[in-house]
Amino acid sequence: MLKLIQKFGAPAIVCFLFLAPILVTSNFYLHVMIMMCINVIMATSMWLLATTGLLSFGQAGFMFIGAMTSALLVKNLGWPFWVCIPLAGIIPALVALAVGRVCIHIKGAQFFMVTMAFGELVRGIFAYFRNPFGGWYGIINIPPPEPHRYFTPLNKIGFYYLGVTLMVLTCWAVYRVSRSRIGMIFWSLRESETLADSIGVNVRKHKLHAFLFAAFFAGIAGTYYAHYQSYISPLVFTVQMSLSALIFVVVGGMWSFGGPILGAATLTLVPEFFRATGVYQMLIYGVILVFAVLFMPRGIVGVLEEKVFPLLLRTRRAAINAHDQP
Amino acid sequence: MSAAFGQIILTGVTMGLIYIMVALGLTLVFGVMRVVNFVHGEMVMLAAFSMYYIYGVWHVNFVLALVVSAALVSAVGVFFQRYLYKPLKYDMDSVMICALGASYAIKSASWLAFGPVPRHIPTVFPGMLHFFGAFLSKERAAACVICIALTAGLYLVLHKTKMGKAIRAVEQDSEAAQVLGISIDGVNAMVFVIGCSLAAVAGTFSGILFAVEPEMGSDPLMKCFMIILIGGIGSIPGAIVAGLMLGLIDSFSETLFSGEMAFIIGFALLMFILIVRPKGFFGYDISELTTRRKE
Repeated sequence: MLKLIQKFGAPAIVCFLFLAPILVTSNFYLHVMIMMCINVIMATSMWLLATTGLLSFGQAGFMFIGAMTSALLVKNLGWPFWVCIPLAGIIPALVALAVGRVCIHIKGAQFFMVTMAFGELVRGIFAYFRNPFGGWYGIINIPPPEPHRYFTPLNKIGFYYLGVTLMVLTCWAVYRVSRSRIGMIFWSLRESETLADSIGVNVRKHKLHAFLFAAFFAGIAGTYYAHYQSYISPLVFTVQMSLSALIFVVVGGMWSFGGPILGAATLTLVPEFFRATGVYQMLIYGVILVFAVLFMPRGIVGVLEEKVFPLLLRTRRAAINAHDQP
Repeated sequence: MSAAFGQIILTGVTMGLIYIMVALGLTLVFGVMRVVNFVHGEMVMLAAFSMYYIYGVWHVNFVLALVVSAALVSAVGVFFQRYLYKPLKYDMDSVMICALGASYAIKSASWLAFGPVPRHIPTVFPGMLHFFGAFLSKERAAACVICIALTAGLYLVLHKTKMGKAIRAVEQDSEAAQVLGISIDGVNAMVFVIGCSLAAVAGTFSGILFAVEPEMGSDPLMKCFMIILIGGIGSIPGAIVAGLMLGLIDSFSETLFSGEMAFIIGFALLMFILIVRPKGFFGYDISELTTRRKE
């Protein structure tokens, strides 16, 4: 059973996601699924940074830079969307390179604040320069991707497939990186920087790489968001957005790759269940967060491992024990 | 010109002092427990609402009303410390998310209870002061005086009394303090009471000077995080210097440039200071302390 889940779990979920529009035709549910894709991209890229022990509050800033890049290129210069997608990842990554070079040595709470200040700075700059960036009003009427026939506001299936593809690609890339040698180095940085430094790991370089990765995928999520909503402004990419990426990671579980995905998926779906309660929605969301953290200290993944799959846990423990004592 | 200059300085100092009131509570909580207490802004808001009802609507004596609001808000703060932060073992990430959720819940509950209409706490000290060509309303002057007095009082309490010594001991090394017979829970609760009472004063004066509304706590909160990090975590002189600096920068750049430019300058300066000196003006290296505690 366990081996089946391990082997076919991810492909089964991907197949299900690609076949879902056959069952779900309502635009509202497709919209929820699309927002879920964006949130999963944000959460997994943030998680990769979190494996090095850094938590960033500035992800919305990189998302905004990516969104702005492709919105301006597509709307004002008429470039095709498909050319802009990689650019919208590369330009935030370049900005992250510049910012990271000066601030990656900062630790803990101070790093939160530097990245938060960076996110707010990006908002402030885009709000100040009215000419290309549109000020507080932002940019409206961002054209959808080509061919326009498949990406209309009334039929979201095109956007849905694009979002799922981007999400699967992001998850795959993050998974591969986190399981590679570089990923192991990221984990070692989280355990002890001094120790990693002493065995010859270039701490700054690897932290910077994680920061670049996170910025790249945040930019991709941003461009997708911009072309899906066809509207971006400094009022959209606020601190709240960066915070919610962090919430997804912590509530899902920071210690495994499934955590951010499960966290983002659950916390996108759960508030939608309470949308009918109207004004109480935010209240319920807040209470859920409090109880989630109180009763699931290791996140949703932790509960799954401890309570729901005791079998899975026992097998894994046995495997770890066998590995530890050869 | 000099009158306008004086006016800008006075506005900046008043704003700075109110920020300092909120920031002192935050810096104590952060310094002693190493948690990012996002609920602190909601404490300011709740205190302002309770002052509005007790003093503004039911016409109780001002000082009595202030004491009652401070006690109410402190009770809420100690409740959070006892039943939410302590079970989470003051772990930074979980407490941050927990406090964030609580802050969402309190904010939307107060939207439901009080509605979006801004209210005003009626003024206690009507009239104007006039010096060097600049005007200062008496309530602003009173706010300044009370904030300065409370800051000085807090400094004295922390440095001259036994309780203050205990708080500083826990801040430096909680395990060693425990070995010496200091009750960690008692100190943590005390810190929350002090912080929430200061927040209550800040809430009262920003309710008198500006408006009482459910969102009034969120904006100063971010400013106050900036203040405690620029000044150095756990440092009172740092909070004072950084608070006054931030208030003056805000008021100068808002008068001289547009609001957006003030926004940019504030955050650019924060980034610059944190990059150049991550521990802040008067702080110690917090990362060393946290790693030592983990081991």
